[in-house]
Amino acid sequence: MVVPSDSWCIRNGFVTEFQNLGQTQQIPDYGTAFRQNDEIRTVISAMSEFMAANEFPLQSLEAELNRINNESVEMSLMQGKSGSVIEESPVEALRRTAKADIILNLDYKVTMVGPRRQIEFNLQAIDAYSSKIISGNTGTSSPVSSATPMTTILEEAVLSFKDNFLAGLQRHFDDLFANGREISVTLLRYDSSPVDFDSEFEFEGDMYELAEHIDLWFSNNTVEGRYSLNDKSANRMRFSQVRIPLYDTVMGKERAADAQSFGNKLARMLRKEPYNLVVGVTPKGLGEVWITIGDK
Amino acid sequence: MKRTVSVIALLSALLTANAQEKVKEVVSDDYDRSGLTVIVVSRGDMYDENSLDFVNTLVIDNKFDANPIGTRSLFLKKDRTQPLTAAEADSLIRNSGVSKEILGYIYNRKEDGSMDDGLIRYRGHYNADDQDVINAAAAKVGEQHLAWGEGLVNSSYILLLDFFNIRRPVDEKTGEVSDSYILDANAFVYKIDCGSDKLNEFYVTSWASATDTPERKAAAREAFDSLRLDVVPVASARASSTSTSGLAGGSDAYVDVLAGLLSKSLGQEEDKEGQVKEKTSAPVPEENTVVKAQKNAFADAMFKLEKMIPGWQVGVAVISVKPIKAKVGRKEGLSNGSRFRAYSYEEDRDGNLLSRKRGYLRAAKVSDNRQFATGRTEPSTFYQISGVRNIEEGWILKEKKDLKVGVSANMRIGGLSALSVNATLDYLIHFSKLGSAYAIVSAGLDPLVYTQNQVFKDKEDNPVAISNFNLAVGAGYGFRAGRFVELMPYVVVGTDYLKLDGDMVFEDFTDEENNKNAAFFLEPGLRASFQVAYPFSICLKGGYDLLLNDIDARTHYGYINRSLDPRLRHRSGVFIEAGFRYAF
Amino acid sequence: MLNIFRIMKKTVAYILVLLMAATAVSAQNKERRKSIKSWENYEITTEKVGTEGTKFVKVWGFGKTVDKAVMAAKRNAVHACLFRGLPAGPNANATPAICRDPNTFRNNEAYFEEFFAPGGAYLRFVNMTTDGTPAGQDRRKIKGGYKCALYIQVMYDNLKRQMEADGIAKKLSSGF
Repeated sequence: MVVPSDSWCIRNGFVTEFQNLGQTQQIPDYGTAFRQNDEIRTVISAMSEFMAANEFPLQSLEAELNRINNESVEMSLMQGKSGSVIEESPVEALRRTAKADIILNLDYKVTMVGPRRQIEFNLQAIDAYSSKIISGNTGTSSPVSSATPMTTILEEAVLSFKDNFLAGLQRHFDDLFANGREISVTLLRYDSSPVDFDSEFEFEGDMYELAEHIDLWFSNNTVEGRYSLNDKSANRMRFSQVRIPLYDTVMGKERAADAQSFGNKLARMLRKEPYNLVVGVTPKGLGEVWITIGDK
Repeated sequence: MKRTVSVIALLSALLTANAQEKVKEVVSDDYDRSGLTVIVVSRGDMYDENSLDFVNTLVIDNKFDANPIGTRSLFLKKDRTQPLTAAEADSLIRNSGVSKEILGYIYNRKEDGSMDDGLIRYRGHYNADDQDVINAAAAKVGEQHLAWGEGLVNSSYILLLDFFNIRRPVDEKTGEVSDSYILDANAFVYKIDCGSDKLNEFYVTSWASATDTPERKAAAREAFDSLRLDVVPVASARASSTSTSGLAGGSDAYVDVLAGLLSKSLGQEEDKEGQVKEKTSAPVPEENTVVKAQKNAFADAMFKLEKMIPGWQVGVAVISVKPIKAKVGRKEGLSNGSRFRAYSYEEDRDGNLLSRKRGYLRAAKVSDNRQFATGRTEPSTFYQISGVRNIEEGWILKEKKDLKVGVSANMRIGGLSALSVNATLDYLIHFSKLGSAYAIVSAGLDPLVYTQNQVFKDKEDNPVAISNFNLAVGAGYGFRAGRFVELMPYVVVGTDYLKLDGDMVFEDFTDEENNKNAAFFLEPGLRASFQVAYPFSICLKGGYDLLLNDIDARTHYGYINRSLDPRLRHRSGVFIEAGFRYAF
Repeated sequence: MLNIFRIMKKTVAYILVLLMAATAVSAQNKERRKSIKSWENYEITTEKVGTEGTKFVKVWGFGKTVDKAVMAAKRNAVHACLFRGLPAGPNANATPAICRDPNTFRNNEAYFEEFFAPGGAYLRFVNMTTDGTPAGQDRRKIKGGYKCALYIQVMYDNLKRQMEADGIAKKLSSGF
């Protein structure tokens, strides 16, 4: 899915403002951008064309936005049952609902130097799971006369970075197949939970902390045991660079795995003996999942 | 023996050094059109008006993009008898702001400070050759890129012409002032220094388009006024001309020369007969005569400058051989007979690029390519006139303008006189696959006549020398037999003079009889030229001189002729001649 | 006795002919292999961003004659797209090689020998855009032949699809 970058939206005035904790914040208004700006449509069409040729049809942000609006399922605030607040931004929500694996963050700027017109472009492919930049492409188009149609210059820019961009994707996919998808997992304990991460449970005759149980589970369920535990306390555990297999078997059926499915798998383990916890799984985008114990 | 060896060694060392020198300089293989602005120097005298007339009516050659700006002349108070020095020309140009005026012209700068790139796009497109067009088709923004002629801005030249020493020749004997003018001219060529950095600066600071706000336009105007755009001196040339001649003034000027010579040779006698006054050209208004001299001087200066400035020399690749064709034509100012030199490129062991000089060629069939290239430009046809190696596909042709003149000096046996020395000047009028058409002027002299100083005596019984010369004009057609041999049948008509020293006359002759001191002759012949090393060739000539006058008639010429040693008498007869020819 | 001589003579002649033929064939093979392997040394530049699916390059080739140098340049252009990648030009980004695995050539030597054989399949992916033959500084006589530069349009996307179809390069979508 190609998404115009925030800076592009701000530069071109496609933003809506809202008050957040007394501060005015700007968030991109993609809907208006698509309605009013032909150039961005040209670029997206040009990119869709070559992506389709490589058997990777692009998701249309425009169509996705319409769908979200129609369904009115957009929720920017999610509340835990006990009133605890986990916030998901509109973009994160969009990423989650659109389920685009890769977000193409597009920015370009037209510069006029005398009668000379040139565009500087920057296209970043961002892994929707890990928010890592897979492929970054910047460049400047040939200087042409201002009489040259914008569409031609934009198409040239797309063609210029196309193959490099695809190579970046290829590298990313190779990495995915070899090392799995990268997500992050945060475990939180609600006050209502009777156990915390320091609580001990028995394993093969010995007593281990819940955190150690979870750590072991990660070690067994990630690709080649790749993950890192960044933060651990009695109330909170945070895992990042968690490499999960691309596919997962749920109820005997293989399907693409994401952070939520991985979280669900962990939740199923925690709900069972000997833990018997009340576990909630809240996805935050595609690549992050919050697992709450003590409440749903 | 030792000495011989060392001499040979030294010679070979010199030769190799020379050969290395020759290949060191690499000629460029690309050619872009240049812009040209001609400006004259006003001196604050009566000729200023002529100079302005000259520059206002000047038509610049097709190969240049004319940049006619408002400033046509620059003023410097100095007596016209003195030329402008290079330093004076420099400061005149640098302080004038013409460089910025040219930039303004190129970008169609209007009074409000707004500009556009219409002309530069047009020129870029016009400058593009077939390869550019084909490349454009392969590129995504090709056509638009092609139209982009920014690079041409930096090849905008200014030619400052200073006419000086304008005078009318005075006949030393009669004190008569001629109708024609003689003048000298200095041409100083500058290039505006507008490389990509300068152009960027200009774009960033001084550019405003028509749609910009008045404030932006005002700011751009101000910035443009304070923009510094320097000029670089490129070359300078001295030319002199008269209103009736000008060696480099193209074929017109040549026809003038020939006509002048012809009328001189025939007219001298006819004048005296009082018949031909009206034959000489009618007196023309003075201004036009000066302007004509100025135009001739300009043409002469351009000829010299084009040889000096590499950017003005057309360069084009050979696309096919048999016949040799290259995509160049009237757009590049090509005309029939234009001379080019072929170059090939090679790399030495270290990978250094070298260009090697090859043979010369001339344009035969010139295509009219004055349009945007389409990828299928009609090529012009050339024929090789020198060089041992055949010119190959892919070699580069570089324009090497020449005077198209050949001068030969020969020794002749037979014909009008028993022995004579001859000098011939031929001018190439037309060049084709078959050969070359020439206009010919020849002059000859019978040295043996000068030995006959005992035939006539003056009143004091002193010997009186006899002088002789002949002058002829005509035309010939040189058939090329291979690259090195040319066979030219030709015919000339001329007059042969026999005179007594000190213009002595025979007292018993009437004035009319005494005035007839020449005889007409007709000379058909065949010249064979063998090229030794271009432009040097050996000539052999054979033909028949037919004396048209009755040599027995009672005339000055006839009487002297009859008085000569019988072996030396001028008469009709067969001749052979040998000599050498040098082409300029 | 005479007969033996005759037979011996015949045999020797046969052997000689066979030997000559064998050396000729092996020389030919050697030459071809050499020509394919002596690819490490050519220059290529990206001219401009090409039209959809193409790369617009200027590439040099070496050969005993101009025609051979032109053929070599065409082959080099395809070779660069497959194995070397194209460098960035003033207004065009770099292009990565289609075969990213450095061992592709070695692992598929037979395939590429046929692909790059004279008149081979590679010719389907190049389009010479030089006007006429290489001229001027793009046509240089060097020791042992000519070095020529050509403007060439490589059908990069088609070439890539061909490599994917022939299993030489991996498809982007493979594995999903």
